[in-house]
Amino acid sequence: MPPLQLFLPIEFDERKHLIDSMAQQYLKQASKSVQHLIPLRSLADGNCLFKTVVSLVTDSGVSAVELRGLSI
Amino acid sequence: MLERHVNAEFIKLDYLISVRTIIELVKNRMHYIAQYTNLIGPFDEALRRTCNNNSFSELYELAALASALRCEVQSVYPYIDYRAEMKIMNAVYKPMDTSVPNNGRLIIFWTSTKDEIITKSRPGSGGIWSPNHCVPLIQQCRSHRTASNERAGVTPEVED
Repeated sequence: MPPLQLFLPIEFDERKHLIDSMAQQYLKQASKSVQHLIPLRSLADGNCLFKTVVSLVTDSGVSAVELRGLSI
Repeated sequence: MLERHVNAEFIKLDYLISVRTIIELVKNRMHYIAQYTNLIGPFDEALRRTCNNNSFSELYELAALASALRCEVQSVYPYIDYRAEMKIMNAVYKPMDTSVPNNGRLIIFWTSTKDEIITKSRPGSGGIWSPNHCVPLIQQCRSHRTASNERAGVTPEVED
């Protein structure tokens, strides 16, 4: 199975990303080393771990070949 | 606003990643059992929950996601009702195969969709805060970082 080719963006892009303001409040209570980072809005449907990647990447962030080959 | 994220391609992407993560967990199950069962609990039950589409994420998934995406996955948990055994929630999980270059770092923040008081008063919570959601953390864009530094009094680069 070929590895998943995924390119994670390095920084916030206001044209593509949305800020999660509730998470921003909670971030104040996290480690100081991450408090400068921006929490992105992501779908909260009980399967949030995989949705985090979806909210990060753009449509060019994943191999189109692999998406077409997906049959589950 | 969120609708622009929700198109067919992106919905497929999270299924794709979840399938890859489940394959990774099954393929290297002995590694994950040896590494995490003492900390997280029984592997098979966790895998069953992972295969159920709407289950809440487990640390097994987080660890396997690092190998599935070939990137480091950093878990960040707020210091609310924090106990010593929760340090595994503030840790970096690395891909098993270190021979290939990885794709950077995914930072996951455990949060709640409700404020702290409402979250603590959820039925069955016993007044203890626990997350019901996770979101990615990302760097501010460079221009904004520069502007913040200037406001904070950090000496900017001087142009001739």
